[in-house]
Amino acid sequence: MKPLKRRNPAFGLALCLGAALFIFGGDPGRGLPKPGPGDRQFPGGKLPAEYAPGEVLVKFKESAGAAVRASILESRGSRVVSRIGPLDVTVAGIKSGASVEETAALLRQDPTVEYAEPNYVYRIALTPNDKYFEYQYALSNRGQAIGWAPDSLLGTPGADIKATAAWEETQGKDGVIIGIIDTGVDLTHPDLRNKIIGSGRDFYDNDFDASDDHGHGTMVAGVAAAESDNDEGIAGVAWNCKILPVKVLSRFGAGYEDIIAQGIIWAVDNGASVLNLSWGGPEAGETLRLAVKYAYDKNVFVTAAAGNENTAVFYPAAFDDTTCAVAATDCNDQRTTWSNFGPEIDVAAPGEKIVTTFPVSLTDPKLPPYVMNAWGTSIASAHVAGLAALIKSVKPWLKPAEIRAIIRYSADDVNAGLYKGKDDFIGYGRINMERALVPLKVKK
Amino acid sequence: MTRRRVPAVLGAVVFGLVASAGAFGQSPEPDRQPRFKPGVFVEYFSRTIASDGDSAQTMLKTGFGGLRFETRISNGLSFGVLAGYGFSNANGLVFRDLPFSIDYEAGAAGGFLAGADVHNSFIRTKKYEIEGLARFVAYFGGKKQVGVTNLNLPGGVDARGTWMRVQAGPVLRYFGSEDLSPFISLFVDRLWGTYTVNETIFDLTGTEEKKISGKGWVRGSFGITYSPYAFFSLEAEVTALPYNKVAGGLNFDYGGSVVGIFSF
Repeated sequence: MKPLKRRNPAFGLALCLGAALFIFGGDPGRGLPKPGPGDRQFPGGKLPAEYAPGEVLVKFKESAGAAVRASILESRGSRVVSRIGPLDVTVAGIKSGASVEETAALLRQDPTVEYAEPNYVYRIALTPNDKYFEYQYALSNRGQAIGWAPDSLLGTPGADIKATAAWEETQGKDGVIIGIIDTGVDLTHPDLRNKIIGSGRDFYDNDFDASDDHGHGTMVAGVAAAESDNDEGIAGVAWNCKILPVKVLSRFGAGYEDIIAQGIIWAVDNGASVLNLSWGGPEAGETLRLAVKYAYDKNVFVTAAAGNENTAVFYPAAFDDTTCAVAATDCNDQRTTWSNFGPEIDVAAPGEKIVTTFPVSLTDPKLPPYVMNAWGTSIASAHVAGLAALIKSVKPWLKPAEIRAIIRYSADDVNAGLYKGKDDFIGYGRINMERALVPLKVKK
Repeated sequence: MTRRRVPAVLGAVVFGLVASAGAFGQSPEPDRQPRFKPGVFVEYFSRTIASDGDSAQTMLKTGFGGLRFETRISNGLSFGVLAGYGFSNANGLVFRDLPFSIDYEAGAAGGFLAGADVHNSFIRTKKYEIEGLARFVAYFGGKKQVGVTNLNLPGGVDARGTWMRVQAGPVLRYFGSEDLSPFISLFVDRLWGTYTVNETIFDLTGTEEKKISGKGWVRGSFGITYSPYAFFSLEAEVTALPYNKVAGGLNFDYGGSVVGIFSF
């Protein structure tokens, strides 16, 4: 056995810890990047960094004098890049090769440091460049004028479906197809033609040309999935998802149950994973019920308009087991006075004065080309169809009931002041794309 | 090298260390080496981890401590086991296969650790020793339940993480001072794990299991063993582990440990 040694154990401990600090601290100043004109690059590109490389922001406590501050930065191998005078915040360059997070964490440990953090990047939410996007309050409401007329109403900031934040997460996949079971879709529309699969199917005239001779189908198609960020027209909810036009309604905007049922089944059998049914009636047709159930059983999500009569929810929206029934709100997050109501309502979406696509051949030459302001739960339903397509894009395994639950539970209960929780007027609330799609921060 | 081969390679390294004991492990003072070495340890490391292939990364921050017991099997060859408790924090893991995607920021979860190591002294002179060391630690995290409060209906998630770390490589030790012996090491250092999250939002349920792996392969360390008494020594070590950043270039993860060792 070795003899006892006389050296103070504290001395050895100090040496051990000193060795550790040597590694963490490094040689002050060594390897620091030289400041220069190209030193800081503005974050850009598709996947910019979350914070500036090689920099931290440090705020010292007021009691720390200049010498102490310099010494602390130097001991971490950092240097002053600049100062934000009024805030007394120092922008510090970190040692070459050092991690920003680690350096900030080390600085935070110092009692004279109030905080130290990465120099975070903030950016505008993904905003498309479509010509009329500024009028699309439903997607992004900044309190702007609702419409292009000089006396247009102003919306309430935030009374929207939070589309821009959700588009950061996904803009949809082109393998997800939205069946527009309606009056057809303008196949030549500049904001839709690249989104349409083939020429669709016309069950009304029994051919394979689902051109729109009414306008309604083109309007809902645009809301759900107009070509976006293309310098033209409007932005759709589901940028990259495709449209399958199925004409089941005449040029007068009405159709028979059997034709509608055939259209639904055809859309399901031809790849649609979301169906938008922006029409309805007070009668619960059994054939219609079976057709909708056919879609549901094949894992196709079905959304339908509640109706615009301020009465009970129309069918097929009222097929509670299989369909997502959608009411309409306005630019102030108020339920519209004409939106149908009842216990079947699942959610609401904007449906008043919505700028959307309109058939080229039917456009009034005195109005902006190819677009139209639209009203109705039809339009509200199309917003939900777009959201469902985005959910399906990122989670293709989800069943219709699960997609409906996500849309319901993530909605904003905008009338909670009057009716807390689910109610007969807007269901669980106005849809919120951001909460439905963007990962929720889970904190203790 | 594929993931499946890594454990096999590390196993071979461990086997090599053990098998070569007789060939190289000729300590000049075999009889003076203690037979048993119980000890206590604390360790902290931060490790950049990749998930979803290599497309996402975050940092696993872990602090743990416990008891260690080492016994000499033969000249130069010793075997140790350890057990303890620690906290592991994988904040920033994003689970996108749940009905509602979540960005897990719920902080550290406590869990138990167990591990083993084997040392083999290859060469020992009066002033230097080169030994091989292989070490294995597994962490079994407890379940952490967190509420999801920003939806229309009540819900929550529970998360559980497990990981294992394997290290193997040479240690060069210098006995220049009577009671201080600095050392450096260069280890292959791999970490794998799984984080599982169960989500329940009213009637909506889902489970996602996410595989994680530590970035980087090799870590270097520097440490000092201080032996004020024959029956007690204190060892401190700091480590640095380089890894390739997604955006290119190198970055480093750091760690450190302190071990108190009694010798009998």
